[in-house]
Amino acid sequence: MALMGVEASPRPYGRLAIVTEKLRRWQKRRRFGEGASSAARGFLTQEQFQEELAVLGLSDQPFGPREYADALGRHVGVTISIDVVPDAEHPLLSRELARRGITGETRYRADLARAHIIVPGSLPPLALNFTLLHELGHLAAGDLFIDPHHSGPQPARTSALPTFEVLNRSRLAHGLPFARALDREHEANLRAGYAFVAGCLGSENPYAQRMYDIL
Amino acid sequence: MNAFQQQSLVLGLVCFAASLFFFGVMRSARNTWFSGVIAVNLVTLTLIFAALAVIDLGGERAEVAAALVSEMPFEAVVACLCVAQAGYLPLRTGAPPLAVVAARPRLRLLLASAGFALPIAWVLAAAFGFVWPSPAVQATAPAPLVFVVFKWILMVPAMVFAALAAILFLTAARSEALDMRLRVKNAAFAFATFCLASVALESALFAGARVWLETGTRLAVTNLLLVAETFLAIACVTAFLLGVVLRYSPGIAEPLVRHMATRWLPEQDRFDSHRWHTVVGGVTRGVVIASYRIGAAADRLCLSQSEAERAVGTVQHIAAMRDSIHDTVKVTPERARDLHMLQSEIVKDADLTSKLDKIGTPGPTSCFGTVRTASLHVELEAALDLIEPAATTRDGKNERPLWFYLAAAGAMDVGFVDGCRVREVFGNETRYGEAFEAYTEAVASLGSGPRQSQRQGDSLKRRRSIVEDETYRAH
Repeated sequence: MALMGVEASPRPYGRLAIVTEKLRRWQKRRRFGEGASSAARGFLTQEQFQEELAVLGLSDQPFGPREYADALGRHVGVTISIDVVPDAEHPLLSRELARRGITGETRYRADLARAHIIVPGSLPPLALNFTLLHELGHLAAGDLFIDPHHSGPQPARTSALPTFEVLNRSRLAHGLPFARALDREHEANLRAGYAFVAGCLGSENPYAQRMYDIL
Repeated sequence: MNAFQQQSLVLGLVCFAASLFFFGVMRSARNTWFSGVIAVNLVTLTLIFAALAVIDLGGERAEVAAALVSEMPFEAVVACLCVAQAGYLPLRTGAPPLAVVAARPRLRLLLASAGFALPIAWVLAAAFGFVWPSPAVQATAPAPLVFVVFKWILMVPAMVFAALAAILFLTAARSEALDMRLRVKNAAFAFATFCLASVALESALFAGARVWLETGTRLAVTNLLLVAETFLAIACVTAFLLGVVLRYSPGIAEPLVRHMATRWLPEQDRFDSHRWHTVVGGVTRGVVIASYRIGAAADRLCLSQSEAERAVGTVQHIAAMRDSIHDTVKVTPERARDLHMLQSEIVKDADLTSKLDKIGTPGPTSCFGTVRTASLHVELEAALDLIEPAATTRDGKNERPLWFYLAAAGAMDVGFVDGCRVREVFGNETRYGEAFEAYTEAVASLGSGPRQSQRQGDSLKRRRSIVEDETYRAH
């Protein structure tokens, strides 16, 4: 289980911007109601993720969670810091987190444009890397930029999954974040898996090579 | 036969020869969307040039129509190349753009616009040509100014897009991290696309020469340009064929990578997280005691560090499964068996596992050590064998390494596995007795009081209090 904390900026808009935003949402709700859900989409594919990596400049090179966090932070304009809590220095904290089954936590401050990921260092290495990439996956998807004042998802009549709109902010993902938390978690897991493999294989990743073999 | 018909005949023969070669040799060996485009183009061009070589066109509008038809495949290829580089070609839905384009959204948009810009240019040229007709297909005859406008409307956009595509292929070919075969492939496409741009330039210059040059110079220049066009066409087709025929197979197959990313890693993460919850959180008591005793017994048996770690890891795996044996959403032996099967697919590829094992963690090394995919697989297999010991699990071959029996002794000691069943299956093995003896001696030497040996017909004493765990943790 991983936790996400979003601390929204107290005044992200001016008055005019709020009115515009409300109008936009009203229009979108009407579209949902008519079944023309342009925002609805399916889950991220490995090809789409490879495009994201190309945008971050990591497509054909080996990388770990820190490199991914740096590149992602530069792209979305958020300072991302990673804290691995050393087991030797904080054994009680580590044990408490393990007891509660909390593998990682992300704290996001919209007003400071900062994201802070905390993971216990006692996690097995594979799970530790996966957890970090999972948390970074939420940032890449824009899950933490979801408007906390949003009235909730409207039912989409299409087969694709409903999505949330987000504040006008630089995001990496092409699609909007999913409305259901379960879907967001699933896509963060997908992103973590893709990133893990791409980071291990570097230029030997067949999906990276496919971007050089287009004809 | 006039000069234009002769030129059409030469180009038609080039396309015909290329078509024969393509269908006879390459199409069966290499079947991509682009090989399909090449095939359609070669056949269309052969038919168009053959028709133009045979038909003696009468009237300037007919000549404009002939010029437009003969340029259509050329424009189609340039548009396809650009839209494919942008990653928006309907023929290859879901395929990524060229790597050097993906990070540049404006460039991507520009390339994608070729899909509209070139057909629009063709339609504009057609409209202009039919309103102000010109001798469009006479090879060396003088032409009015409207011919230049007609030709340039048609050729300049194609030249720009082809040159852009050539530069991008060249940039891709220069990527040092790339496999040499992929680099050569992109270099071949860069050369072929550069030839396309040169053909468009040559065509634009040809129109200018017919309009602005004096008779003597015009004849010399236009003849030279026609020869250049033939050579460029041959070079272009050859380079494209070379690029297409250079088959590249990745060292690691895509299905395996997808399998790792979408199935194995999430499942392994779930299992490892649960193992951490069980071991570090102290949810299943006895892991620390067993680990400590296994360590001491391993010293007595002179086992290596990695063997001792495998024995401890096996006990941890059993603990994780025991903890959630009644919880279907967590890690059950059934799910562990599925994970074991997923791992089997991965560990088959030694090159792949070595890459996975090189992963570092952004912090101090945890008590679980480093990533060892093969070890995780072996430990899980051992844990599954101990949870449900069956003589058939390994085709009747029950002789296992010493660390396995040590893990069995540890797991029995803390009550993680059914001792009777384990003894029933493995009790007759020599190494089992050896490991069990060492474990019993280790327990005795660590001062936990007298313990009965298995050979005395009783199981090891089970003390699984958290107090004892804490005592060992303190050690």
